[in-house]
Amino acid sequence: MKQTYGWMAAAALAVAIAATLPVSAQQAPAPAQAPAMAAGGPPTRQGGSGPIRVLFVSKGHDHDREGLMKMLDRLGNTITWTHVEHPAATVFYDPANAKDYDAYVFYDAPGRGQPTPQPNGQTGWPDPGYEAKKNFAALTQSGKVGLVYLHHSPATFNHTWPEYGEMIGMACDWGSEVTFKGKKYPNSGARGGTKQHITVLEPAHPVVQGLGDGFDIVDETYLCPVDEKSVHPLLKTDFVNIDKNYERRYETGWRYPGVGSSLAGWYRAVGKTPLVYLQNGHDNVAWSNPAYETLVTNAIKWVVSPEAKAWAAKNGKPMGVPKAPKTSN
Amino acid sequence: MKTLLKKLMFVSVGSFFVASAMTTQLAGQAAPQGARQGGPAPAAGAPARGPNMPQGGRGPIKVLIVTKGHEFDREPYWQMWDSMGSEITWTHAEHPAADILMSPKYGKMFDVYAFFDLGGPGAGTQARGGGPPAVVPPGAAVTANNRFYPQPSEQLKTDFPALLREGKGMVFLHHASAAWAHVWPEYSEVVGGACDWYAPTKIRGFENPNMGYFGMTPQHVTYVDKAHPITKSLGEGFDVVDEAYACHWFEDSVHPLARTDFVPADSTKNLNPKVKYSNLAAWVKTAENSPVFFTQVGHGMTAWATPGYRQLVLSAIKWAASPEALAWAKANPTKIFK
Repeated sequence: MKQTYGWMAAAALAVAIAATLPVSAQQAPAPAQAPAMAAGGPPTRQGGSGPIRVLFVSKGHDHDREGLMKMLDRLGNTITWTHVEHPAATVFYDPANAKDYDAYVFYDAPGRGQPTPQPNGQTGWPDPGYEAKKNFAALTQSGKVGLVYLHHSPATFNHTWPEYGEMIGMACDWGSEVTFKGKKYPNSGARGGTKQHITVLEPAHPVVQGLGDGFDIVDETYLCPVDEKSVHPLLKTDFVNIDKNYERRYETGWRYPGVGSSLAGWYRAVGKTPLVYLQNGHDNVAWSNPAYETLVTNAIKWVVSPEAKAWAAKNGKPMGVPKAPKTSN
Repeated sequence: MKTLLKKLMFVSVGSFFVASAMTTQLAGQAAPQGARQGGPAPAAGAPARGPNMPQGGRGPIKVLIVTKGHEFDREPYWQMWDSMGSEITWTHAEHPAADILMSPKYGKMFDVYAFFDLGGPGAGTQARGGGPPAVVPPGAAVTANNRFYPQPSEQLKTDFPALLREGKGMVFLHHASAAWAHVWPEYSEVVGGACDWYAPTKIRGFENPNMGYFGMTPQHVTYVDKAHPITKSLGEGFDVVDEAYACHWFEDSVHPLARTDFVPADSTKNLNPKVKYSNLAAWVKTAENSPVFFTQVGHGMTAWATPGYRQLVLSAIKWAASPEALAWAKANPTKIFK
């Protein structure tokens, strides 16, 4: 009897081990660059192998890293993506370092929330510095890479580089007041898990092809200042964007004046560069929505297209650059 | 029987770590609010990052983590680094972006470079799955079994030696030892060894068959220099279930820190008969004016969740960033590049 139990225990252990081990741990490693099989999906290769070379920028807002990377992997027949985080990401604002990429996709949000200790020993907001700001403006003027901004990326460097959010058409910070186009706004609103219907506003545009007249999504909404006049609207949400609808914040006394923008996606030209912003994309619920995957794919394809670049070169205005710091001699 | 029991114990402990890591990974995906507040929970069996610790940490040592060229289980790997977040702030960069950062100009942003990459990975030259044959880049090495290995860029070949001459902490982990093995022998000299499991190699003049990898191997790693700053507070070693290698390690060019009790059944299948199998599992050395650490351990979740492994990696990072290590490297430089 003891032997029987011992055998059963060993068998159960073996089954448990087999069930828990991922493919890569059960077997000897696949050759470098070999495709891996995503559960229930098509073969994917980490980083993809498609023709459009994407620099994927993140850091500054915690998120489900693997879920987002898996979504990018699923675009792997269209893109080959390379990840870089802040602060290293600012190195690639320099057009000289952009030669390996066709598009930048931003999921970053450095410099938000509350001031933090800075390299100078003071508590404050991180500042990418004049060189990085000048380089980024030069990058947009070069038209070398298309720009795709996702979800929380308009929160990037608002407190030290307001021109950046103005370039996107929106600025956010959910922990501190926001500066946008010379005005101050209360800290932004965010409401997770919101059921919404997104309506397509310009059905003929390449970025919304395949979406019909719209799609349903459960995702986080934002209440942030948007410069609607500076953008070409592509998508709007049916969520009523007022402070009362951000119940958890409202209950704590948070107030936000007026009615916020219902735009959920747009395009615009900056310098000679086409830019797309998509407000959706907080987590895997959105990333695994087929409509969202279509949107991101379309956006990347469009911003690198000759048509979009020609349009941007004709219609874009140079991005604002802050004054150079005074040098001490 | 004792050996069998020992191995079973290793495997079951390892599977517990893996199961825990996988569970937390799934939990992270299913709980978006959790992600907002700090992402998936850490793997069991090792120190976790605190509830207010952001992804990427906020410690004083600035680490650039370089990957690409060899797939791996990403989230559990990030969690290992996050668990060190009170000591390090880490930034991830993949090739080819990492190439730009491996330079004196941008090296100022970081105290230590930690490589888990496989620079210049090989690929088959033949058409696969009905697609066209691969485009072999100019200058690539092509092996007898129809694999090609691209050359590093001229910029990287200039910038990386310059960075090493300036003096920067370098930590190489596991498959990073296979980077550029066919085309840039000086790079292998920087690491202290070379691997390739998918094509014959010529390393230091020796023709090797495909080198060996042995997944999920229960092994004991023993520290052989217990007085070194990296190992002095880590005890005598640690058990781990991990991939072992039979690769060409340069025993005469490194200072051994640890050895594994794993021995391949027949190392002549993997290495030139004149190249004896080396059971080195960790070492330090210098490359130009830079301190270098390498450990062969670290393929997957079973290793990354092993406290002894995390302690070794963190200790190596702290050492590589230390003024003492930089001074040691400058006092004992190894000229590698012309």
